[in-house]
Amino acid sequence: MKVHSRSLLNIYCLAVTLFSYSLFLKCYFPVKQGLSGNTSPTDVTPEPVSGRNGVPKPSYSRLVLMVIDALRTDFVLGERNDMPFTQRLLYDGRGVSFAAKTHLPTVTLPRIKAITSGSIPGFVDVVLNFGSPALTDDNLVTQLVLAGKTLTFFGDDTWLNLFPDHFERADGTTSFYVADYTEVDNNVTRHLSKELSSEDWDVMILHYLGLDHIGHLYGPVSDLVPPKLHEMDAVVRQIYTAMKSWNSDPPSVLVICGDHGMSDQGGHGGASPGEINVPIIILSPHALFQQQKTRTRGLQQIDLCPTLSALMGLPMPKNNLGRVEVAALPESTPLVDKVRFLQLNAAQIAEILKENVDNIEEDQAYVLHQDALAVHASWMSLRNSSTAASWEAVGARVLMGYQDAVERMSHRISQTSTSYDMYGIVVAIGFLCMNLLIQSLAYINKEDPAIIHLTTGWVWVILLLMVAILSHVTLCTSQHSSDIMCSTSITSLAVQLAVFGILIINCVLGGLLGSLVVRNAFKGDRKPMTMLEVGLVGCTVFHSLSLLSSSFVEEEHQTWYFFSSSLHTLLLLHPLSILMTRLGQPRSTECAGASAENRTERTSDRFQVSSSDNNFTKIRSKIRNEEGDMSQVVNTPVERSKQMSAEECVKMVASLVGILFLIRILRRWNQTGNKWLDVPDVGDWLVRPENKSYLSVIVLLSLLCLWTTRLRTLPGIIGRLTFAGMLISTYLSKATSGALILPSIITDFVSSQGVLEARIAYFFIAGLLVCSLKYSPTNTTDNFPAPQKRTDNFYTDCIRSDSQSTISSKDQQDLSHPANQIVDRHKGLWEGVQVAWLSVMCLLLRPHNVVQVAMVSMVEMLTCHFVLPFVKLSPQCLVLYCLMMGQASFYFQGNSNSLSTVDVSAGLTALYDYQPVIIGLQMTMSTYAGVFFWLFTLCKYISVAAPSCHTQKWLSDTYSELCSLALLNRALPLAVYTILVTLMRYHLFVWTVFSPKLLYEGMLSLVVCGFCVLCLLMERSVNKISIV
Amino acid sequence: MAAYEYGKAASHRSTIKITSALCALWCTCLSAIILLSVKYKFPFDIIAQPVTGVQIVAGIIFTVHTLSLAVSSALEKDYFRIKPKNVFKCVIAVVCACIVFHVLAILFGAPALESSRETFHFAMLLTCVAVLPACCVLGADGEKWIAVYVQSRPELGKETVIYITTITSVVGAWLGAVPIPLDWDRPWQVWPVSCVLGSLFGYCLGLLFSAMYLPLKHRQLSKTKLT
Ligand SMILES: [Zn+2]
Ligand SMILES: [Zn+2]
Repeated sequence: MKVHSRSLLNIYCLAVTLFSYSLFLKCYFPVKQGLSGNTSPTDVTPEPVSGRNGVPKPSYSRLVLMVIDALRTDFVLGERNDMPFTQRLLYDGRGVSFAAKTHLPTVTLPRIKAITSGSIPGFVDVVLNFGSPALTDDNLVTQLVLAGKTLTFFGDDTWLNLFPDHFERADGTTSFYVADYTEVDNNVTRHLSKELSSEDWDVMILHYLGLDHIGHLYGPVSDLVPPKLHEMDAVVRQIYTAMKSWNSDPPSVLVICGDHGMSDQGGHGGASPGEINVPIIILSPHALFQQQKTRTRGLQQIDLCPTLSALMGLPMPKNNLGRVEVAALPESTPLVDKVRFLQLNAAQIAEILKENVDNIEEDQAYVLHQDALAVHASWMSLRNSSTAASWEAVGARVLMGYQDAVERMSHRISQTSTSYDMYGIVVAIGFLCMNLLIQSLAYINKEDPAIIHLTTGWVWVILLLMVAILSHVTLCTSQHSSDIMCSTSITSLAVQLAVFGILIINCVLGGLLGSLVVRNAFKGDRKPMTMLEVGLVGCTVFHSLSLLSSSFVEEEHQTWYFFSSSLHTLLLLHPLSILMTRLGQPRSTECAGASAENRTERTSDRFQVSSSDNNFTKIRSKIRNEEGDMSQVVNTPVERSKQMSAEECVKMVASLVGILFLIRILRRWNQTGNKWLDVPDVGDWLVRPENKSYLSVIVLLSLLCLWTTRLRTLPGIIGRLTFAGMLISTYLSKATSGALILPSIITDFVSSQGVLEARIAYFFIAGLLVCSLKYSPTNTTDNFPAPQKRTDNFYTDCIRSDSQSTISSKDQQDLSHPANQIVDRHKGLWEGVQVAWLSVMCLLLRPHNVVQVAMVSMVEMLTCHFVLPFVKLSPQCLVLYCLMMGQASFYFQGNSNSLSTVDVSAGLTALYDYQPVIIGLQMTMSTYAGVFFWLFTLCKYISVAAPSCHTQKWLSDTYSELCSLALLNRALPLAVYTILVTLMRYHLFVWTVFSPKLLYEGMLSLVVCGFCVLCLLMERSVNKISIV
Repeated sequence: MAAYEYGKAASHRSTIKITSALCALWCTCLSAIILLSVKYKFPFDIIAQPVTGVQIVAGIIFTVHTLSLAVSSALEKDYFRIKPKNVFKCVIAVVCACIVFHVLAILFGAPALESSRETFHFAMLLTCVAVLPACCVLGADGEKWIAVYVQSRPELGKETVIYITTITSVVGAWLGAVPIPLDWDRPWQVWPVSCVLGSLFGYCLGLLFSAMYLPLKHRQLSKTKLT
């Protein structure tokens, strides 16, 4: 067996990372198995004493359920008066209102499931939010159909996917066209007048999306919210007035609710009060409601399902965990019926409890239920023998008893029923840790893996395989059996096969690399780490460990901001110390003795001056041993200050200070996280409608700034014009969607939605990419020198010329040198990609973040021109630096580790209709725009760091090294974080903090893996040149 | 060079012992004051009123250093350092350092406009522990500053002490920012309390470390010369 090269190892590690992380996600977010089948109305627990079977008579026969997406509680029930008609009705006692709390995640699909089935859907439903399969569990809609009701539906087509063939008439609107908040609602309302006058339906469900779209676009304080609420109020008035005219014998009811709220920033998905508080309003012209004197019990959103069931006289859906809200029943409902509803409710939940708890008789919640049942029985037998008043008083106690029992049982179930697939989780974590180990061993072991031979060890491999299979069988037959690991389905078998394969390869690789590392541990001198390297590695490790604290996960942006500031401050020390040395030079050189020499040597080592590759470093140190004097001279500060003129030092200091200032402004642009989310930020101020003109001016300025600063990197007039065209169409597309000001002369020529302009912008971006691909290293026709034999002699030459050329940095090596050409081509290619990517960022990010694009681009320019040429960082440092800056820019954009900050509207750029793949792609691109930018920048920076000889070999080696380093950089947090969330799986914050972060980490890993594939492709393409 | 250093070391054996002892004493006094004020809010409450606390602590540190400067120049009959011109230079340096620390704190994320009083007091304290001692020891001699801080070869003695304490107190202040984002809602997490405490603890640790490091290093140096 032979491990061919490092890139093979990289591909393997990449595949294993993705495989084990997906396995982990699959096992950590189990798809809950509910009870199957539907409750039948005749087959329910009989009432004690009377023996009455079946569900009590319904209070209403016709129901209108009006779901307003993202309706916050304070929109209706707060101080504001935007829904006057509804509020008037509530005031007059024509209805009741509740403030309910939703479960997590606050995304539409899981919430519709919660409203209709009363169960708590799993976290993974967020992912399924894009393609929603039909709901097969027992639910309210199915129960209505089974009861012979005729249903109609208008609104969000998620309902049509969930309940196919349930509706007599339906008109779905897609929820993904966020930019439109008028048409979506008109499409619903236009059916109303016809439907309200026809008598052939019993239940009508409406789902209005406009409010949610306004929230996503402009936030809850937008000027567009009050008119939208008034519009909704008018719909309520229309329905209510129609209901009044209906025959009141089978009375009718209107239920208004929100599926989830909206955060103060306008998104949803997280757990902020604005997102989880939704109103539930029940209005009926035919019934009177109890005035709510005390509202002690907090209502959950899932309580709506059994309550609606009770109102419509249906049995509770089988998996319901909600409680019937007695206050929602009309006043005329007899007390016996109220108690009966709760009894049914309790009996149904007790069934679920029996499934989840082993010895049910001793369970406290179940005992509570049995007690309530006993009191109910005695109450029923007392019915004719006691006075009405005392009987009612006891009845109220029975009600309370049942309510307590239902809540306790429901709580108990939600505690126990999340069954984690521990076997799969442990396997996934094991692989992630092994992966981390193998990658670090491969990193430490600089020897070319091509020389690794596996001669012995087949016995061990077979032994290992046998042990693994034995323990697998044992585990699968024990109580830790797992769905994905132990069943005989095709997927499961494939997973099992993969697991065994990976296990064997991991062990073999680990053993080999480990033995190599041990063998070479004391060979060769390793250069001590520079201060910058220590800082970068320390920051990376600290970040991974900081994930152990939930507040550091919530405030992760602070970690990255702090690191980036610290790092640039650390870099600042370098030119400052040179400047100081120059100032004090004339006198200090006199007394430079041997010991001083020694010390200065150490000082200079703290800043890595120009060691770019470990191979070179090794050889260089060898040379140093041979001709010690010469190399020492090169590294003393005196020489260093020769390398860097005072002017350059001042420039570097100025640009670093500039970068620090830019970072400080950027971090204040979008406040994110949790603790300081409410602090006013620049973005909030700019988005306000009255500041639209400022926003337009500042966006124009930043586009102009981008154009002027990036102009130099674009070849030829065509490229420059393309870039200009792209920026103009970006502005137009943002202006036509209403976010920016547009002069009235132009308004006539542009389309109404900004879609066409966005497409033109994409066209220009494609043009830019083509321009930059002209630089692709494969297209070269030059003859490069054939790869030389690797001899130390040659390298020595190379380094000598290298150090000489750095000393005389002013007169650069002659430009026709092939090595320089290849570096230039690389730089040109990546600069072109960078410009194209900056354009994509401008197009996809929200208008106020366009300014950020300009600032991030500025930071990159400053680093590239004034910092990197003087503090030559090794590729390892560059990877860490760029990933750190990428993470920081991810948070600069206003992202956080909560799902509510994902910008849904970015996915719809340049689209007229719903195309899930493109939407997903654009959302990923906009969310990880900063990370992508810095990854592309990384590729450009390595061309800056390239040595002047053996460039081709160096480049291909470095691409492979970039890949392995980026993977290693991912492996550490993945391993740490999966262990953490497994340990914390019963923690209070597991759904609010840890689980969303898990999805974000997975997404980031996917992005980095994509980058690694790109690196491997580049490595191949660089190698190809030598064949030509 | 080594011989030169050894000769110096031999002649200053007693000086080094005294410096080390003074360091230990000063460290004990200062940490006692800080611990008392953190734990028992006595004689002042640095957590509840960081501004007053910083004023008092900075005052103490300032007094101790100027006194020691006066005493040492009187003992060594070296009045060059307290000439008006040199004192003026030092004052300028201290003020500049204070401003630089203030700006740095803002760049690291301290509120830019609100609570600038607190930020300024933090910068003042950091200057007191990181720059002021150096001013007292090195005076206005730029060459010495470069030798100590840029080339990092301080003379064994006071210069080593200030070199170490400057680094530890700045690092302490830097590390002090780490617990701020935690959701514990403790009073000491409020800006700038944790950073003030961090720099003070860093300073004390630096003093403690140099009190141990000086005699050890001295013994090592003299041994290498003897053999
Ligand atoms: Zn929704
Ligand atoms: Zn939404």
